[in-house]
Amino acid sequence: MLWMLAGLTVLILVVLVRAIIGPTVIDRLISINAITSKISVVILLIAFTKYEYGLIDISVVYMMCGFAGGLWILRVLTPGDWQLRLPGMKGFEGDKEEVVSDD
Amino acid sequence: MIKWIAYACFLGSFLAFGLGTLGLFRFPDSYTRMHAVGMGDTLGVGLAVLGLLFLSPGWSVRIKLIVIMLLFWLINTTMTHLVAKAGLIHGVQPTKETKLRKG
Repeated sequence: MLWMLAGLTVLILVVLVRAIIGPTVIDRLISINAITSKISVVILLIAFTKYEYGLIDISVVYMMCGFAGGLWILRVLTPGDWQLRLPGMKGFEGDKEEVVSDD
Repeated sequence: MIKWIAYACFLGSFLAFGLGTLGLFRFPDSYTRMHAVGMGDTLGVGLAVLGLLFLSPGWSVRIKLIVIMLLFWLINTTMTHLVAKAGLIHGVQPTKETKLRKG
């Protein structure tokens, strides 16, 4: 299982490059989500290589903390209502002021 | 014998993670990258937990692993949906070739 630990570490570093050079905020958010899932699998593999099965609970807690952090970032990113506006629909271009409004 | 079945599951999991990471760099758009990463991480965590189920010593560990898998499938899909919706609200544009339905 050690080769998979090494491979997942390399994949985490590769995803981190996308998190750094990502053009939009959304790319950085999905990169953080991908890193969180990979680290959860790494913690599970460490629990099975070291024969310490208490680390499985730590993996659950890490996954839940990543979810809560992502939700908080989304709450800051989109203030106001959560009504969906597609580009091309009426009123999409006029809502740029609402995005930067204070929450 | 059981060990090699588990290693085959780990190989499939690593392939799924790697293809998700490859899609993160090859796709032209934020939403398509999100699709690639969501698919790859869901299949990767499922196969990694399936491989660890063969190596686990008792039923308490197996029940915890199944709970982790179901929880990850719930959390990752919810997070991908919320990130896509927040991107549309925030004004992240798709590529020029994307055809959006109005209404």
